[in-house]
Amino acid sequence: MSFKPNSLNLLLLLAILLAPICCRAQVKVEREYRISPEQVPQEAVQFVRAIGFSRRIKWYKEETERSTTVEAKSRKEGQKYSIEFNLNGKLEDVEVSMHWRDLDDAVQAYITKTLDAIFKKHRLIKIQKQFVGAPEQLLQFLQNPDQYAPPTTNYELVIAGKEKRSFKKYEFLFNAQGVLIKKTEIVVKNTDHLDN
Amino acid sequence: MQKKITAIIFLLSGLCFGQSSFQFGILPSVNLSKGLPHDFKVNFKIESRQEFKSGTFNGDRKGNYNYLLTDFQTIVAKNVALNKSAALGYFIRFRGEQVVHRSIQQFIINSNYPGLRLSHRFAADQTFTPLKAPVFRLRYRIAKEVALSGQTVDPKEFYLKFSNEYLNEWQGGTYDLEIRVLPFLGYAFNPGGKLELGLDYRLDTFVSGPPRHRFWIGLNFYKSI
Repeated sequence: MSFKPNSLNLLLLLAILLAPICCRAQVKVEREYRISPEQVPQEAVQFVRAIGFSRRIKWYKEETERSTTVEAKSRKEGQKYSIEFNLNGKLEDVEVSMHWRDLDDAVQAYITKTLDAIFKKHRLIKIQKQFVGAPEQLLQFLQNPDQYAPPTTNYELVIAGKEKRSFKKYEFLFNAQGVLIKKTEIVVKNTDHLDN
Repeated sequence: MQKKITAIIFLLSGLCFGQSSFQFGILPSVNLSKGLPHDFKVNFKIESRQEFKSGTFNGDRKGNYNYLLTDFQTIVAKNVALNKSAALGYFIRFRGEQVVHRSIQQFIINSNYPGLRLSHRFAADQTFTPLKAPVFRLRYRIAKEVALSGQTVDPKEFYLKFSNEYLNEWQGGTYDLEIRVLPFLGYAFNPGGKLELGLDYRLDTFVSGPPRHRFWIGLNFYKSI
């Protein structure tokens, strides 16, 4: 038994030629890519500069079906910061990385109870504090967190959980008391090219 | 053209040549995968091996095109955690008139980091060829995907993929080790469609004899259906 070689080469050639067409799929397109500071609204650049990051600031543009935003990422005093703006440079929120153990015990308990009710099994992948408020108030707080009261604080958690029979990844938003505000499923990136 | 190909082979091998043999050619593949209920996934792969040149570095070389073989592989995987999967597979190879059968077992762990993803693949396979002793292999491969725009690979973006694999092989009481190094450049058309081009370098038979260097131009197409 033999396999005609030309058939496979033809199949591969067809796959490559048709890839841009057949791969113009009907799935949600989400993109995040690096941009230069020159491509960012001045209002956003000035806000981020005023915070006083010691490390380099990286700017990204995020495109989803619903909106496009620009985001600055950097570090300050060992914590990762992510600051999101709309395309006009208006501040949307500030997110700062944190550890689960830094949450109040009562808030931890409330969040855990909520997650236990949803999932058979779950694991925390990431937790961030999310600050929302007027830009001036946020900037004052970020420049001097010991001197000013924090603005509205929420907690954003990325959780891997087993719901029914499938493992999935979710983003949860809880308020400062640990009450659930929003739950969004995160589409896990395809790994076919890594597994095979 | 033949002189240029020979020069590339010398530059890339970097090992003592002596009686080392080499093969150079192309290794195109098409991978189709489909998600199934309850965290199962099936992957079907067709791959061919086509030789352009072979010989020894300081001896005879032949430069005729030679279609060597075609492989068909089916793997069924199940997620056992969000980033871990276990898989069983079957593989059949047509090499001229010879048909080779292989059974495959795999365990994969994927990790995400800002800007890159790592995949660890632990595998075992058993190969059965008529009139030959079966071959048993234990394999480990690490693969790293690096996004070239942003922190993750998104549609319409390029990425780099580096893989390094070690294959321990036993056949009829004889042991051999094969090492593979695969640097690839990839492009994601959409979340389920990717095309990659790169080098699949394989070094084996060096444990108990002259090394064999194989340089395959890899051209991989992935489509999730």
